[in-house]
Amino acid sequence: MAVSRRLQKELRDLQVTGCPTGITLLQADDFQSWILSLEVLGDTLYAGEKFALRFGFDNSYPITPPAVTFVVDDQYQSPVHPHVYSNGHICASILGNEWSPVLTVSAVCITLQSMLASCKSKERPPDNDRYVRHAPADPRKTRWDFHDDDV
Amino acid sequence: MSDAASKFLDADIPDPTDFSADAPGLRQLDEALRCTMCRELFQAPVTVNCTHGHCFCSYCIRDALATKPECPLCRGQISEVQIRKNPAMEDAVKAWNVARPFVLQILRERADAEAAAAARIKASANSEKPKFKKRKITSESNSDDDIVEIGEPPASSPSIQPGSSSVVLCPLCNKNVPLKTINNHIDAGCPSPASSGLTSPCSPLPKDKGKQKQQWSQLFQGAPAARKGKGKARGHPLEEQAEPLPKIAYDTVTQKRLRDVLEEYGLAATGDRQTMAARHARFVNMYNANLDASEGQRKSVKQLQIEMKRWDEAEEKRKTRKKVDAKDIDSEEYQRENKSTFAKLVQAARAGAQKRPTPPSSSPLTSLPPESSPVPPENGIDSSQQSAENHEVMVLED
Repeated sequence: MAVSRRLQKELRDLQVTGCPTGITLLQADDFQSWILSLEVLGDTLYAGEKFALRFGFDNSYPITPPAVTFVVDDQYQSPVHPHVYSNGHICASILGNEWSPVLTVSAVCITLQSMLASCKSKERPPDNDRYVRHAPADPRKTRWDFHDDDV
Repeated sequence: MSDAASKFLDADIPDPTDFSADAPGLRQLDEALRCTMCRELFQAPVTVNCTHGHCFCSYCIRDALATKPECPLCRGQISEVQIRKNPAMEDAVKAWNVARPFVLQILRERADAEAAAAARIKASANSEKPKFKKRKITSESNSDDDIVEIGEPPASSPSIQPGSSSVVLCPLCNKNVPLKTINNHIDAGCPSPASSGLTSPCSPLPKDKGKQKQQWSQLFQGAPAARKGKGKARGHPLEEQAEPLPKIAYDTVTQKRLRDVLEEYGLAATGDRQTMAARHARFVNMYNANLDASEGQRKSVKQLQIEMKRWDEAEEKRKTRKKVDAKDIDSEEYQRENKSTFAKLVQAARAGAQKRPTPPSSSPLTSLPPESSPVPPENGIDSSQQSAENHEVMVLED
């Protein structure tokens, strides 16, 4: 109950005050999974590309982080970035041990947007193939080792 | 599910966006009185010992601290024992809880009146000119005068015609009150209409002298009067102590002890160890958070127990729903759909087995460089999923 109340408030906030620039709400039919589209504006490596983010919420949100992945299907691809795997999984500390319950869907979107915006070379993580082959369905089950604070 | 979601969307969930962005300061005020974790108006607000002195609902921060000992806003190191009550914030929230619907109604009435006036002006452009001027002045007048001006629009609005007998809904207590006496009614703290014997929930006026006396004695002693008579309050072990409940190290406590503690607190002692631990942790947080509310605002132990019961039921429902969902997957259809994938997996497994006659005891992943970022979960964590998959493959092989 508390989960849906908090998400309800976030949804209302997104609808009334609008999403941050470059971010659009594509789907929020329930309080288990939302999809938002994300564009990186300005002069970046991802100019003109559009991505979609899937947020999965469980019963302990916002105490635990949502499961956030880039959508990979016919329409969307995961961005080529040193911290994003080709299956859409994201290696970002705020989605793991740096999560804080005051963070919101919109805050996560902005963080990922700036992560993409500051990217200097488009490449996959060095261990992409190995990870994708064995990755669990839920990225939160992966034990990430955050080693790079620059990007 | 989307049905339920739209129901939630329609439901009136109070939110800072109830106030339009151009109402000066109101949205910000509403936001400032809300917990950054649950987004509700603070309930038993507390300050934590980070350098900024951030403020949260007592329950929210206790819940978050169970995960890690840092301030959710600034990541400063904090600890649960250093939580301090914030009575000033609590008073502000208490007043705002009452003022909020009142302010919203005034804003609504004003907006309605302005819309009505604008419509009238449109209808007869020339004749109504003086009125237009007057309306303009109203909307431009500065905020100090607003309250004085507000009295007027309803009088000119056709929708709310105050007759001598008209009755309005009191914005504070939601009772019907004659319009004539509404101001006196609100000033007096919403006394209930003479006929009904019940005290309205927001009435601060004590009904009889005995109660008044009790309140005075509470004020001076700083403790409920009931505590004087020790014998009377013995009924419940929780009732007489206003001390926070101790935490339990769930890894070391025996299941029997856990069950005893739950029973002592008047809670259900059913379910497995994990369920009981979750129930205990939640109740301890709720109970201790409740103590951070001022005495007038606290819930009774009974109420907390009822809330726990509801939570138990919701959890139970959630668990059974999960089980049903899992059963709903048609395993035969699933096998048919994924036949090619399974075949490929089987082939790959056979090829691998031929290469290495003895299957490796540990996952081949562990031999890879540990520097790289993700490490898939250890076998223990995901074993249920894996064994399920293995099972499917074996079935196909037959």
